[in-house]
Amino acid sequence: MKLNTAAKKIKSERGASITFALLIFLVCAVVGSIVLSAATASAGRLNKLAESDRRYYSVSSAAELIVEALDGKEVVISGDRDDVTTTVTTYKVNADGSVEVDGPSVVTGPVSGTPGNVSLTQTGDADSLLCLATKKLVFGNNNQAASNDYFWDSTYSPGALVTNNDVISDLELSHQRGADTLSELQVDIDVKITEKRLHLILKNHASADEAVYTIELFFTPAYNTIISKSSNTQTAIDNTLMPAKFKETVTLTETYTKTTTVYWSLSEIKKGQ
Amino acid sequence: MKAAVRKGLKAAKLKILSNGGETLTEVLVSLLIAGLALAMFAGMIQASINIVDSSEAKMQEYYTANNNLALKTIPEATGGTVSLTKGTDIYNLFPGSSGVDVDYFVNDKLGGVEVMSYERELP
Repeated sequence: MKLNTAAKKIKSERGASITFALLIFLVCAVVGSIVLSAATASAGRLNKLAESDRRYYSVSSAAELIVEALDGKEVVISGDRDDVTTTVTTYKVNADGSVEVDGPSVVTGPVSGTPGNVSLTQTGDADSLLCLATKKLVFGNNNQAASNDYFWDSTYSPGALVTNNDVISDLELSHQRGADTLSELQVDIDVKITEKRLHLILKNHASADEAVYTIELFFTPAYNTIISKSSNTQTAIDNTLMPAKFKETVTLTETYTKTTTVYWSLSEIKKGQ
Repeated sequence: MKAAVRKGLKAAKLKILSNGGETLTEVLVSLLIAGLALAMFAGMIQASINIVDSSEAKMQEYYTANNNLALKTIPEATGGTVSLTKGTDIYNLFPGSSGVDVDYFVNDKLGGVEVMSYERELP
């Protein structure tokens, strides 16, 4: 049956030029469109590539700057406390003018004074990011007075007061070049404490529908605490009982200076989209 | 409706059974259509080749500029300042200075989007 049909077709004198022409037109149009749209799409990706690179370079530049600022740097925490010991000795003046001790001396102390304010400095600067982080890590949410007391308390242990994921601050790294703020380079930085390390999350400033490139930096602290002591003696004479007696008051002031040096080093970098 | 379908089927049957050839006009029109199709196809291929070539050239320029950006070899003439802020508060990144002087490195080879990197100016 089929062979019969084929034979008929071969013998047929019916033309099909227009059909073939339309078929060729269709094929050419479809294939051409596909090739053209593929090439156009490939060219269109270039702008996306530049946007993605811009995110990458703004965040990685910020990360380099942060690492340069924090890695290998030290913050010094320092505070003073005085211990005062007072010794009062009464002397008796004899008729021949000689002097002898009249009874035992009265010793008071040592009495610890109120600790002085604890200070945190990075090469003399108290307003640096590292000082902010160190303060949070060592003193938690304590105010100045509570920090002073804690610094001298027997329970003092740097890093003990913070909890995991304790947020320190949300900061921005912003630019100024002449009148241009270069907002496309702005980087948002979340600063927090994770596993007793300083954890900075850097991401490009983006609206909700824009992609975000992220770099996470972890800095580990190392602590070294030393206490030094200096002494100062002052003597005062009370002559109100003269000529029979006089009192000598010796005040020994022992000043303790406690210093904790916090050394920060970069311990981990995480990158991601 | 039924009648119209029947009429169409009859016309198609007649057409199929017909042994009639096509006229010279039909052949010429066919050739014209095929010629136009081929010309259009060739034009599209040529346009695609041009697009790909220009993309490749652009990419080459872009990557060369990006290498310079990554290696930080050619800073822009105008530098700037980077500050660490929270609202109006400023935190010093480096002790003693509220702003960090930086050099900018730019790749603007893709027109609209400028890719920029920066590093601290040597103090």
